[in-house]
Amino acid sequence: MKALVVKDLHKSFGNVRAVVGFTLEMEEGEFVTLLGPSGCGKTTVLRTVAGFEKADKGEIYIFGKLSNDIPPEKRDVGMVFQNYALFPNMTVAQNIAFSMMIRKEPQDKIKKRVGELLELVQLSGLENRYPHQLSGGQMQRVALARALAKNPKILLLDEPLSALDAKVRQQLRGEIRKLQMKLGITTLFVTHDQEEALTMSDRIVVMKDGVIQQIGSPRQIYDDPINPFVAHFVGTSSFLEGEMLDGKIFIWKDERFEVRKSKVKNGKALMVLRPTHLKMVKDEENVPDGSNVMKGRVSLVTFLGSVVRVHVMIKEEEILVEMPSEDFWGFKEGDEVIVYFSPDFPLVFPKEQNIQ
Amino acid sequence: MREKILKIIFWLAVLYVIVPIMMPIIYSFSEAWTGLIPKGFTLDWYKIIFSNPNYQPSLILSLFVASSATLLNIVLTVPAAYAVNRLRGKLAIFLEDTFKILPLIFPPLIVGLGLLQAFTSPPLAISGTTTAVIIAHALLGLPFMFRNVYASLKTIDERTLSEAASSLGANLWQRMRYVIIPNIIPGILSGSLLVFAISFGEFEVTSMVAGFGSQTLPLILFQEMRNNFRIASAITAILVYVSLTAFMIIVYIGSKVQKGYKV
Repeated sequence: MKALVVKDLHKSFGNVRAVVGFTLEMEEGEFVTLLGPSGCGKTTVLRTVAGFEKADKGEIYIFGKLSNDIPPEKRDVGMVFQNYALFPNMTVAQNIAFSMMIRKEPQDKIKKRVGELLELVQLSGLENRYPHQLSGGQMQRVALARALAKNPKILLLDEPLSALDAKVRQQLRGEIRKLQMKLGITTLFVTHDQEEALTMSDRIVVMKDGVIQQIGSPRQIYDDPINPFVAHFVGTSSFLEGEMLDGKIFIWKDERFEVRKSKVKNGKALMVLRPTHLKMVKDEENVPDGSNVMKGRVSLVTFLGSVVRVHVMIKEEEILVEMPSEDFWGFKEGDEVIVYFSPDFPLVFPKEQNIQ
Repeated sequence: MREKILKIIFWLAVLYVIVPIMMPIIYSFSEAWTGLIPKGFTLDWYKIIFSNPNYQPSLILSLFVASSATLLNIVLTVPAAYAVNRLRGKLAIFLEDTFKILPLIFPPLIVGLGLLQAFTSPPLAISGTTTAVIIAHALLGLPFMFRNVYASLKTIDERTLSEAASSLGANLWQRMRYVIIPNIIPGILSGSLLVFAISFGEFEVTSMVAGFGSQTLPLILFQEMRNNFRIASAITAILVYVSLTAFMIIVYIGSKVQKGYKV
């Protein structure tokens, strides 16, 4: 049985169509991320699954049970909110035990479970603190423990890391994923952060203007984006506007590139170049045969830690090239360089598909 | 230098607030006050008040009216603030302004006249009764309660807290009982204090809608000011004591209600 089935979901707020024909099936234990810019409808989908919004059209099945008309308090889902939403009048233990208190479970059972959950989110010893005495990361751990306390069949995470510092965010990202795999809990995660999506998910659903653009594994989404929007939103890319000839040659300004993966045969087209697909050298001799070659001038070198990103001006366009830091050998701003790429890498899309 | 001037201004402001309150209290304990410093210490004025059968009922009445007006106000305003907080768009802004500002714009005289009109004709021919006074006071205090409760609801992000609670299985009643009310109680209490104090000291509107059977303490005070200024001072002092006591009780209740549940 599918853990979650959302079938042809539609939802509008006034004149704004927030979600249009959203369909998704989730396997039990799967971690699926809804990814997109703000206003793309991802949060609306999550809130409809939680029961906070009513679908205009379409069905939601939670473990086979049609749930459209089940109020949120009766749904078998746990939710974690962006701003934690801890109850300020309650201690950590009271917050976590809330769902068990509502269900009138016996005190000793509650105590035991709260202890287990605190251990699970590594907050043992903080049970008597109040939310305002905790850091952001700790608050979100409490919120996670609280959502897990009722043993929900599906865990819903609404941008749970957005309000946290970069360092805590990265750490918690890994912890949530490990926890999710350990418990095997089906999880629907909403974020606008492509890095979170890529690192945490089994599958990613990329959305734009309420419409699903692409569903796939992180690898598929990154390596094989279905349109320029996905390519632009997930990962970094340079875009070249040009023309396709016979589905084999991409003409950009007065350059001609050989390409193997084009969705256009003839006519105006958009080429996507990932910075990692491009290589950079000083002399033409070092370029392998069969590569597409461009000449340019380095305009900026940025050191990103494990990689170095070089901005190269080629025919008044800025193109990004990335290489591992250890392979970087002292290009400087102003250097004349040769940039080349294999015909296997770039994707070419029809021009009418916009990247925004 | 600048700091010094600011300090002086601050203390002048404090005096400006405290002196008018302290004067009648000091006056109510003194035998005579002709020069700059009051003379002697006496409890006579209070003895007179508590032995005179005219004053005691009006004190009790005032307490009853103020408590009832506060309760009525809570019952009306908390749900109203909750509802307005849940609304979206222009209607919400309009209602928010209505509750917050409108009752403050109209002078009490106008409110009194309006109430008088409403209370003299059926179906609400209750003019002169204690009920009329309670309703009038509850109305006068409404914007103050609304502001406080509404601000609390906004501060705690009531919507999200309610959603969190409902996703944890709490129904509307449980959400109110365990989450919303305990977290807006500071707002309700400070609102209550204001409503209570307004009601307890209210004169203008009360003088219009009250009858012989509903003479509250301020009404008696007004009469007494012409007869015996010393007794009037003692009555004023009592008004201050009661308001302070109410304040302390409310703070105490607040600290009790806000606690979570037992784990």
